[in-house]
Order: sequence, then C-alpha cells, then structure tokens
Amino acid sequence: MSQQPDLLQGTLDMLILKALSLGPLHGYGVLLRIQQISKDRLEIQQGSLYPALYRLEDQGWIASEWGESENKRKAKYYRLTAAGRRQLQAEVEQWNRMAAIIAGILQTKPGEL
Amino acid sequence: MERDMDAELRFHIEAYAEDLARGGVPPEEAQRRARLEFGGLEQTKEECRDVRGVTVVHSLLQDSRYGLRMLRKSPGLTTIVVITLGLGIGANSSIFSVLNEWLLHPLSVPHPEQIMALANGSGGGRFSYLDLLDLGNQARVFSDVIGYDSGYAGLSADGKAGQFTCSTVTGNYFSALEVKPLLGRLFVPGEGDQPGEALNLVLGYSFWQKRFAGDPAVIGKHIAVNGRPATIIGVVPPEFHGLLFAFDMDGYLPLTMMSEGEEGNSLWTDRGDRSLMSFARLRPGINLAQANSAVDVVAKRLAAQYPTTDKGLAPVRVIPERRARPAPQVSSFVPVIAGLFLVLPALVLLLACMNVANILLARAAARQQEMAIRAAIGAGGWRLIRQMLTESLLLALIGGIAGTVFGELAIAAAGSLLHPVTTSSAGAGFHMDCSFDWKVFAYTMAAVVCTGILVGLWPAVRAGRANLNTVLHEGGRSDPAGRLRLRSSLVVAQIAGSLMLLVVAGLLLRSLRHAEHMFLGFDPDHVVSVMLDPHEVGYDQVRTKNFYRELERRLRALPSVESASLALTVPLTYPGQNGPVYVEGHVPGPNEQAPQITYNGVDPGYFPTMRVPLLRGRIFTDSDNETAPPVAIVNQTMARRLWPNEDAVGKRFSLKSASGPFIQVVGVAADGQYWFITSDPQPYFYVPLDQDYDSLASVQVRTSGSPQPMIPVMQREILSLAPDMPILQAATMEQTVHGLAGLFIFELAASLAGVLGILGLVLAVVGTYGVVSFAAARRTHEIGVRMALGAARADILKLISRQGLVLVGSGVLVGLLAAFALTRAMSKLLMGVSPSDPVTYLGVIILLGTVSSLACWIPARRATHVDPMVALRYE
Repeated sequence: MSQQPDLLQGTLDMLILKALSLGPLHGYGVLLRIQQISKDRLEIQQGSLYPALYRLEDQGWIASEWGESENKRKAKYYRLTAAGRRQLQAEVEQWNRMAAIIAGILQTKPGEL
Repeated sequence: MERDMDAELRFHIEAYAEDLARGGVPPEEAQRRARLEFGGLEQTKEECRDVRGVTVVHSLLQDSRYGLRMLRKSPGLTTIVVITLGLGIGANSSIFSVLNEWLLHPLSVPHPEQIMALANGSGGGRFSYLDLLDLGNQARVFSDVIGYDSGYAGLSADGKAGQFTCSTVTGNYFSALEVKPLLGRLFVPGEGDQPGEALNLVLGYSFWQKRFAGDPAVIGKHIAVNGRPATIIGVVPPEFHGLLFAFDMDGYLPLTMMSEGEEGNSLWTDRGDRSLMSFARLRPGINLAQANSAVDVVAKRLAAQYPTTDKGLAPVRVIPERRARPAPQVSSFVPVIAGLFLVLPALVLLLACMNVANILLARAAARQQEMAIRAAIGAGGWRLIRQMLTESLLLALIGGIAGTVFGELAIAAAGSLLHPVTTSSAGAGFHMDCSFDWKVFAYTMAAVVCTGILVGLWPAVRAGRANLNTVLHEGGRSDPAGRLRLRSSLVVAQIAGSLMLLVVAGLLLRSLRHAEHMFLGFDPDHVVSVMLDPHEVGYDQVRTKNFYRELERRLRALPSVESASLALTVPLTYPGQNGPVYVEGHVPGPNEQAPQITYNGVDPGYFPTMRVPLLRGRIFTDSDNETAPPVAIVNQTMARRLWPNEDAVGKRFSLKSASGPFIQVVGVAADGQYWFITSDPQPYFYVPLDQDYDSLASVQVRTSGSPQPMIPVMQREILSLAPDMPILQAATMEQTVHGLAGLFIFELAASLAGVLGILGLVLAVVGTYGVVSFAAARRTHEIGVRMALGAARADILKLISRQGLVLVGSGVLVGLLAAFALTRAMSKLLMGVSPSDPVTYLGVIILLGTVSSLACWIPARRATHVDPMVALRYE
C-alpha cells in the first residue's frame, strides 16, 4: 500500500466522473471501478468518496436514484448528467494541457534555455 | 435524508465486507476490517452534511426539522412554552391592532398623507364658511379646503321614517378626497354651496346595503331628509367611511342642507358662525412647516381685516389627519394612552420571555451532554448556536401563531363587550376595523423574532461553548453558579415587571372607582332621557314648541313620573352649543381672546329633574321666555374664572360682541361633568331653552320606580302624539354615565390593565417558583449533609426560602422605582388618584409579596422533606 502514489488534490472528482461516464454505479461500485481501471495502482480513502459524491450531486453533475444491487440489495445508484459529461470533458482537457506543460518543464535539459 | 445516508454507507461497508469474505477472510474479521478501512463514519457523515448544506435555506430546513423533532420529544414543555409565549404575543398583537386602526390606519383615499386637519386658535377646532373660503383661496399650499359637519338627520323613504348619521359637506368634499363613486355620481365642486339649492344625497355603502338592500335602482330615488325633498345621486365605495373618526357615515348631504331658518342663513354671511370642521389636502411637495406658516399668514391677515369676528382665528394649526384622531382638540390625550398600552403588553411579553428563557436554560443543562458530544464529533460552535436559535425561533413562531389566535379571540371578546355600547342609539354608526393587516403582521413578526432571540440567545451561547471535557467529567449533573445567577436576575426582573403592571392596573382601577362615585354635577339615578328632533320630520318652530309642550304635559301626568324637563342636551351625550364669551366691562389684553365656553339650553324643570345643585341665585322660571330679558346660570368654574373674587350673580356677558347684547347671570350651579368625563373642571353655563331655540332636544323624566321600563312608556307617548317621529336616543342616565363619553373608556382601560396585571403576576410567580425549586434541587446533597449533621427542618426552610425572598425583595425594590417613573406619565388618565397613590402601592406590594413568598415557601418546604440517606446515596 505504501508504494501507491497519493491521490492528487482535486483529481478524485474527475476520476468519479470518469468512472460514472462508463455507466451508472453505486458508491461502492465507483470505488471498485476506479481501482479496476487503475489496475489497483490507486488507493482511494473510502470515507472520502461519499463527501465527493454528495458534492458532485449538489453541483448537478451527477444524479442519484435508489435501485437494486447485483445481490438483490437496495443501493443508491449514481449516473452522469449532461452537465457532468461537459464538466468531465472540460476537466480532462485541462488535465491534459496541464500534464503536457508540466511534462515539458520536466524534460527541459540544461543548456536548452 | 439522514436515513438515506445511513443506508448508503451501511450498504458500502457490508458490500465490502462480503467481498473480503469471498476472498477468504473470516466473516467477523471481514466486518471489522471493512469498518476500519472505511474510516470515521460519523466524520464522513458530518462532511457529507456540510457538503450538502451549502445553501442557507437548506441548512435552515435541516435545523428546523431537527428542532421540530426535539420539540416533539418533549410535548409538555413545548405546550407550556407555546402557551406562555402565545399569551405574551397575543396581548401585544391584539392591543397593537387596536392602536393600528386608531393611529396608523390611513384614510382610504388616494395619498392619505396629504390630508390635514385644520384647527383654529380659540379651541373648538371649527371655522366659519367664509373663513374657510378665504383660507382655501389664499393659502396656496392647499389644493382644496373642505368644510363639513356631522350629525343625525331624519330620512323618510318608501313610507318608513328613520334616523341616519350624515356629514354635511362642501361641494369639493369628494373631489378633494379623490373618492370615486361606486354607483351614480358624487358631489362636484361648488355643488350645494349656496342656500336654497336642490338637496342631493350620497349614500354610505353599508347604509345602502342595510336600508336599501343594496338596490342599484336607488339612484334618482326621491326621498325626504328632515322633511325636505331630496334625491339620491350616488353611493360611495365600501372602504370610504367619511372623515369622522371611528364612525361610518350613512350619508352625505351638501351644505345647502344647513340653509334653513335664521341660524342657517348666518352660515353664508357671518364670519363669527364657526360651525364647520375642516380638512385640507396639501399640494404635492408641500411640507407641514410650509403649510403651517402659509396658513398662519392668511389667518393673521383675516384677523386684521375682520377684527370683530376673526380676532380669535389665529393661530390656525395644520395637523396631519392621523394625528388629529379622534378630534384635533383632544388628540393630546392620545399619545399617553397609546404609549401606555404599547408599554404594558410589551412588559407582559418580556415577562413571558423571561419565563421561557428560564425553562430553556434548564433544558440546556439537560442537553449539555448532547451539545458537548456534537461539538466533539466535529460540529462547530457557530453551528450549535444556530441550532439552538433555530429551536427557540421555532418555539416563538408557534407561540406567535397561538398568540394571533389568542389575540383574535381577545378582539372578538372585546367586540362583544363593545357591542351593547355601539349598537345603542348613542353609538350608532360606530365603526372600528381592527382587522389583521400587514402592519399587525409585521408587528407580530417583530415580536416573534425578538422573542425567539431573547429566549434562545443565552442558552445558545452556552451551547456554543460546550466543552466535552468538563461536561463528561462533571457527569452532566453539574450546573455552574453563573447560570443560577442569571436565572436569579431574571426573577428580579420578573417581579419588578409584574409590580409595574399591577401598579398601573391598580391605579386605573382606583381611578375608575373614584370616577364611579364622583359627583357628576347631577344625579343620574331614576332618570331617563330621550332625544328627539321634530325638525327631522319637517316640523317648523311653532309646531315643534307645541309638540314639546304637549309631550311634557302628558309625561308629567303619568303616575310614576316625579318631574319632567326639556333640554338641548344632557351631560355625556352631545357637547351642546358653544360660543365666545365677552364679559361686560372687561377690556381684553392685546392678545387676549374671548374664551369659548360650552352651554346648554334648559327649561325650568331641568334643575329639579336632574338634581343639579344651585349654589346661589335662582333657577329659570316660565317667565324667562323669548320676550323677557336674556338670563343665564353659570357653573362655579365659570363664575370663578370670569369674575374672580366677585359675586357672579347680577353680572352680564355677551355671546355676540364686547358691546352686547348682554345676558344677565341669575344663578350659580355646582360644577359637573359635561361633554366627557375629565378630571379638570370645565366652565359651563345654562340659558333658558325658550331664549335659545333648537328643534333638537332631549326630554328627561325622573321616575319614582325603575327607570328602564319608563323608556317604552315614553316612546308610546311620543308616537301617540306624532306617529312618524324618529327617536334619536333613549337611555337611562345610568346607561349614559357608563357609555362612550362616560366611564366606558375608564372601564376598558382598567379591565385591560387588570388582565395584563394578572397575566404578569402569574408569569412572575411561575418564574419564581421555578427558580427556587431549581435552586433547592441543586442543593439536595448539601441539605442531606446538613440534616445528617443535625440541622432542623426550620433551619433548612429558612436557608432555602431566604434565597428566594431576597430575590423577591430586590424585584419589588427595582419595580417600585420603575413604577414611579412610569405612572408619572399617566397622570392625565387618572381621576382623583395621585400617580403615587400609597394605597395602590401598598396593596400591590402586599399582594405580590404574599403570592411570591408562597412561591418561594412551597419548594423550600419540599426541600425539608429530603431524606438525608437518599440524598447522600444519590451522590
């Protein structure tokens, strides 16, 4: 667990949106999906997931409704809204721009300036 | 929502535990690890709540829901608090709604703030028609100046005769007020402003509904007013009631109505004939000071131009209509009553608040653990304060709803109390609409918010400071001395407040007692008075005089009648006539005006029938008639003021001018009450009815039997003489004394203050009882120790009750000082009682002292029954 990188500040929201863009999930499912996509390279503090979900819902990017889980239990399912989809797209673009800039900076060699 | 969150988090943990179990972890271990890896469950929840409650409304709703749940949990406490606050708020909103109607409710006309009452310098507040014309033409600050007078008139239509209240108005009345007709048309400027014009009648809305069943076909109908043919031309809208305060006019007649006989004609020609009340509409953008100075200039000019009649005209005062209620001359009385009746209920509410604060403080102690734990798991101090304030505001809001209901009930009760007065012929047309409007609502809401903050702030601040450590260490049973000190000072304030309320109530009650037993200047026992106006059915002067003479003769012939008399008016009904009195031989100073004095026309039977004591000289005789030299009987005050240190009998004065014609004083009568009951003696005089003719008159009868059955007998006699004669007023003098112009206002004030006083007393006693019980309970352990060490019950009793008695004593002391200050302001309302009346103060101190000592003694006595063993084991 110790060799796993810490989650960057502010990226949890984007990861949740990404996870939900693949289909509706309940809270635990979001956690599993992120771990699955990241191939278990990212560990998310479970408790911090829910405030993030509530915040995203409050902002209108995701919506929730009660449904039935795989093993026939009542669970709350989240799905991406249209606004959430736009938000995800914006965040991804910004992330990529940022990553490119930072990568560019980090690749700078002495004497290039 | 809380439940959703719980379910969701539980699902997460269980699902994770299942996954772990599937991976080979034993089920119990899986559960434990799932919970552990999730992290702080409560912390997560609080974070989730915070995230959600970003909007103010949202968190307010949340607090309210939680608050409501807390209130539902302790229904007994909630009920007590709601009733206490309800009584306090109800007392305020109901009294405020009366004051609202009285002082704040604007006239139902466009731009009511521009309407001003005019009052002239030499009292009476009335103007002559010619002076009003000049004021209107020369004072450019007004767009219109209205003249009007109000009274009763007879109306015959469809073969039925009856009486109605009406205003006789200048033609510009409706256009100046910008009143639009509901039906037909209203008077146009100039209409009916000349003698001898056709008589048109505009109907008041409710009279139209009542008398003509709201029939639109009344427009153009021919009727008779006071026997004169007239035509109905229109109906005013329902919200317009006329300009006479607290009355709803039945109809409006043009000024030409007054043009009859000698008296009527002088209206158009004589500047000294001041018979019109006046209102004016300011031009837009003119302020009160400008209006006053402009009117002053015109009044001075008129006084210089017509010195004989207009000398007393200046200064003319311009008073905003709202501040001229009920009438410009007596409106100085109003702020005192209004102020008193705003302060008293506010005091009651304050007492109620203190009681509730006390209860909430006690409950805050019980909830200290809850607060400390909420603080420990992450609720901020501000958050806890907000929670407590929300709860107390909720309580106040429910109390406010209860208060509004109580208030409406109180107004309904007061209305039924008023009912016999307003439906008697004396109060015909009385109209007061104390409905719940936005001002009452705003006032009530302000009371609710202040109450909520007042009762909740202290417990809230304490909650915000809740400290887990101390609370848990002290086992939640502790109660720091600071809180007891606060609650003690609340008791002192409550006792002081209730003492003030009781003193005011006591003074008003004593004043009423005094007024009831005061000598009125006549003896109201066994006297009936009936008011008639044969003019209303078209009688001329000769026929009227014959009618009255014959009626008196018939009444005297009845077996139970001791004596009968005729007078223009009787005390405490109509004000009677008034005029400037010029004393013969008196040279007035440069700025001195002839005093306006009220008088009555009476026949020789009046003095024995009303039993008005004659102090000097003689009463009138039958030979004091139209052809005899004019005479008068003055009262003591008038004699003393006009002829100080001299014998008034034989002196002469004039009502016309300094050079006569003169009236000779033939007697001096005892002082009495005339127009309305007041504490300062008023000058007054009587003239023989034959020398001052008026068709309007009252017939008095003194009977040997009960007066009430005499009324139908008199009615029968009147109708047998004149079958269609409307009877304007018929009442025993006893009823009149208790009527609107009599003791009614004193009775109302005394009973209102009495109710508030009792309310205050109950609240103070409950508060004292609560605090002493609380203090005793806190000392249970100490008492147990003392008793185990051999203290006697009497010692314990003394120990506990002394604490309470010190509070009561301090409260009484503070209250006395405050009451002295408060009652000084109300000396105007007291009849024959000094504002520092020792009997009242002593009585209140004894009453309050006894009752509150009892409230201390009962819990103290209970404390002595503590079993030392139980008390110590309890620890």
